[in-house]
Amino acid sequence: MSESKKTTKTDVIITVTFLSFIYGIFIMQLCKPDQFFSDTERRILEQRPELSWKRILQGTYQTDYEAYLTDQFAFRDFWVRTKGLTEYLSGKQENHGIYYGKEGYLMEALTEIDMGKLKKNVDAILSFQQNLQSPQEKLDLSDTGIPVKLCVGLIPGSATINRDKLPEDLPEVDQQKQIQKIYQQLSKQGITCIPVSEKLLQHKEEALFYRTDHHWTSLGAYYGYEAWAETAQERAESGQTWAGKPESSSFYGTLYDRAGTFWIRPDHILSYVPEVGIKVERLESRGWEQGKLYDREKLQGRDQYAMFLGGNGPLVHISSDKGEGKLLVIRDSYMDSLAPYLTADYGEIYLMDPRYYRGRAWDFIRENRITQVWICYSFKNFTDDTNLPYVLRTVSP
Amino acid sequence: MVFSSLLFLFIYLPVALIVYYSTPDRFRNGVLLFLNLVFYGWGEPSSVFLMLVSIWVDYALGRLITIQKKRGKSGKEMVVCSCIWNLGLLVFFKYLGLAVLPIGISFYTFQKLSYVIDVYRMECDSQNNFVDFAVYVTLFPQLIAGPIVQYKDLKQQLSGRKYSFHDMREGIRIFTVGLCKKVLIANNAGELFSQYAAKSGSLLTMPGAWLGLLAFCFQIYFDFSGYSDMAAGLGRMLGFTFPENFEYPYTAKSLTDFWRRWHKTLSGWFREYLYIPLGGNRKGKGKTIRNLLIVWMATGIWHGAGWNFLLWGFYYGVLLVAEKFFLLKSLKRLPGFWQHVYALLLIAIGWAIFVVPDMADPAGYFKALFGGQGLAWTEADRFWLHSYTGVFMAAIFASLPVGKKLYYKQTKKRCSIVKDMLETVWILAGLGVSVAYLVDATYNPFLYFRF
Repeated sequence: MSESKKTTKTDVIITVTFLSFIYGIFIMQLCKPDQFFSDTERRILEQRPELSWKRILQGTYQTDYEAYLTDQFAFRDFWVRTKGLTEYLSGKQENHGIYYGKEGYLMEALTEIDMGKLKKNVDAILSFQQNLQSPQEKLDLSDTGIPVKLCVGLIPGSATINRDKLPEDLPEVDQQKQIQKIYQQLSKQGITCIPVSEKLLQHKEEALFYRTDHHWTSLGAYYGYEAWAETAQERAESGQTWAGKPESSSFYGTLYDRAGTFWIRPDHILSYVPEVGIKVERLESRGWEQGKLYDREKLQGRDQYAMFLGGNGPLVHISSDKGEGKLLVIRDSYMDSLAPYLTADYGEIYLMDPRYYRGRAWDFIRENRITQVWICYSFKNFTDDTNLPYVLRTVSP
Repeated sequence: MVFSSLLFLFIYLPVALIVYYSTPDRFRNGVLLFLNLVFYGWGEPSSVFLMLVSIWVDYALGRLITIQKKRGKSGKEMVVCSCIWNLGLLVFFKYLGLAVLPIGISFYTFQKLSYVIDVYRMECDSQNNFVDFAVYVTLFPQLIAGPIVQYKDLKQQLSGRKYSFHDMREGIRIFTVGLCKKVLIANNAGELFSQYAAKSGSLLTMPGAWLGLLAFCFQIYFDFSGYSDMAAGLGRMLGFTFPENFEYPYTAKSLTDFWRRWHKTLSGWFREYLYIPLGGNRKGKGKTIRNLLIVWMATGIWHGAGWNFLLWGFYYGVLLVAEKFFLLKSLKRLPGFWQHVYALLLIAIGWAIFVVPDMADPAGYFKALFGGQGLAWTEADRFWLHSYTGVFMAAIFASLPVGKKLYYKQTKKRCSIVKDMLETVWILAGLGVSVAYLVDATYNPFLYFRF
């Protein structure tokens, strides 16, 4: 049983501290206006749920309220960062699916592959190629008389290229091996496969990936371009050299926010290809709108990577006066860093993102008389994506 | 509602404390009952009605027993009714699974049974104030996951509570310790265990399987004792003192010792209301063995409706009988270190049986534990060990009475300003980091919620 002890100073101090903490946040929560969108989480936050007796009796109001409270919690970003730091200090090597690497590198972890989704994407590409090769379709597509050539490029993640910056023992998937297996299947059908992994590994001492973002740097993208030039165009090197122009030295990418690692220094973004002679159009809900190769306004926002071509969208059209011919790339956001280099080779480049584009690539190829098609994805997105087969669907003869 | 949630810490608790302490003492129990029902009803609005009905049944039976006794009768029929009613409900929901299990039913039915039996045994008077009785059953600190408080241990506090800053401070300290145990150690250890539990046998190795099992041993201890600490702390903040539920169980030197330190209120309940009525150890060797086995199997099945829980109970039953009759004597001749090894090994294997429902491939897991899947570390094992170093170190430290000894040493020191600052800083840091983890996660279920 508790004896009523005399109140000591410590009793009061601790009681006051604790009560201030819980009441402080309680009051702050009540007074704080609701936030609609979270920049760091890049999503819409839960809003105040609808109150009704029915919902209370069912319990749905309570669950929604709790989700609302958590999402709108005061100083949410501060708490997430505190947890990130504590994880790091306690020996954890990964937080929210992101590895803490050496030299201030963050890398996306890939520990499991959904083989079902992967197979669907590979099969979609194979059947697309089959249709491209079939005599009936060739007739259908080629007003130009030139058969449509298909290339595939799969880009490994930072964890594969920068493996030496990670702890030795890692349950990480061997992305290079997986890509090679896929390439084996694809090349049997006459698809040109770009050895991106091998090219990047040759230059792995260089800064090929951002430290705070899952994308490759402009330099990494250049080597991807080189690999493509050597394989698809069968020439030794592009021959062009560009000087890097600093665009930003305060790039905090997707991984920085997700891992809560506030102590990591920001990245630099460089651009290499000058904008002279290049025009960009983007397909928006209102129709085609003028865009830019480097949309520097995006550098003021949270997602600085969107500087390249203005970020995500269903269709981007680049016209270049330095190149010739038409190219369609079915891609994810990695391509945005690479596309500038292609302006030396093609006059019209179309970038199609299956996450947003609702039409068929087939129709697009025919309508625009495209002769070169490239499917280019980061390997992680390729194992995750369910939109690619949709865009690649063709009417079977 | 869960204690380790932002909702509880920053909405329910602040409101509850204000409401409770701004009510005059006379009405405090009524207000407390209301707070209890809000807490319980938040997660399960539909179960409140059943609970109130169930409480009323035992309240009425308690009074009926008193009436019977006044007439010179025993009141035994009422006890039988109570058992049928309470155990019947338990069987209906938990073992037959005929409807969604109301949360906490395993705990509060045992508390009600203890009341009826205590009144029958004349160890206390019946509680004629329905509000007070309902408060006993629904007390939100221990309603959902214990400790199981026998009626006679709490009845004084129902009407004669004293309040003090000291109790509030102790309550805060104990609560914070419990919160940290649950959020920082148990939840994290649980993440590691899930990694291993999800694997099929062929992907497990012996070191890996043991690493995963070790993680579970920590998870279940810190989850449960963390919750018990939070319950005790909250009770203290309201002026209640609960019995201790855990006493550094992983420092046990035998299984008998372990069960004097683990979930003490449950084994206490079973001893008081099952073992002793069956005759305990006073009816000869044969009956003692029978009684022990019955009690332990009941303990097992109380934890869940599954053959593995029954087996877990039986496992302990057999080992405890062995210890009681010959093993303990031999054990005591071994050096202390080996006694600990013996105990910890058997406790761990017991947990492996207990957690079978959470394993994707239980047969494979057991095979790996005993060396059947290979003895070498894998890359992944080393990665996990490195990643969870901090968690394991904290878990080992918190499993030993080292922390407590250091704390009491500090409180005797003369430099009180430093001592005050340190303790305040620790409590704030513990709270802060726990809140950080709670915000960071969106999902934080308790292991014991099947009760």
